[in-house]
Amino acid sequence: MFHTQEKRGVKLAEAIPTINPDAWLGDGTYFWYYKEDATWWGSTGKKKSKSGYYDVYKADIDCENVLDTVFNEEHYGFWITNVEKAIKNLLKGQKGTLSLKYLNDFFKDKGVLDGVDGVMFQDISNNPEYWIIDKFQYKKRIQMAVYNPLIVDNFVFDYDGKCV
Amino acid sequence: MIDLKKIQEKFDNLFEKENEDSFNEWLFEKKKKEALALLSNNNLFECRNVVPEGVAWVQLPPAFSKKPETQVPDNTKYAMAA
Repeated sequence: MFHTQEKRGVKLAEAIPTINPDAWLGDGTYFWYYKEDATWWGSTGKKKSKSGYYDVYKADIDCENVLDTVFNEEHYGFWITNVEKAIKNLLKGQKGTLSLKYLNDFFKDKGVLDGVDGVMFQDISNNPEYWIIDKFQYKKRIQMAVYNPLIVDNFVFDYDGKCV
Repeated sequence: MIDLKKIQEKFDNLFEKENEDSFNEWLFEKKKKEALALLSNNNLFECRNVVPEGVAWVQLPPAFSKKPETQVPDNTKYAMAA
């Protein structure tokens, strides 16, 4: 999987945990499933690089203890059920104003996700290469939030690019 | 391999014990910690994005606005992270 960061003076030895308050899977280090998404995020992403350039790193990730809501139907059903319970029980007054990040962080802080090394999730990309007709994407944009850095191996610099 | 049954028990316990009020208390503390962490890294502009409510606003003195891109609040949240 791929990890995008703004270009810095030195290459990273390990992935950097997000400080993005919009990081929707909560605190953790984020990886893209597709290289195209790593490039898209780096070049056009919301969080622009101050240097004007971005770096993409690649790594192997052990998914044995990852909650895989993308390819595992049982995990997906499990996740949806519990997020909807959380919305109903905890977010009565804040639905529409609070991101999923804080639900995930709450789950983690309360020990619910102990033993879960990460969560894999997908959303809809704005990358026009992912659709034939606008809004009817045929390709998933898949991300993983890694909570346990020990499952990341062979983290190395892959390529860089210019922000547009 | 993840034991979904075990995690479900934890979720059930959580939903039994926690409610909107306890979640909001936790949320306030969480955002406060995030704001303090960013402040400790001299990242005052990021702080504005983390705590849109709940924590007192930090008014930035002009001396912090060194670069043109950091002078407009909406353009100050660009630290590539995810």
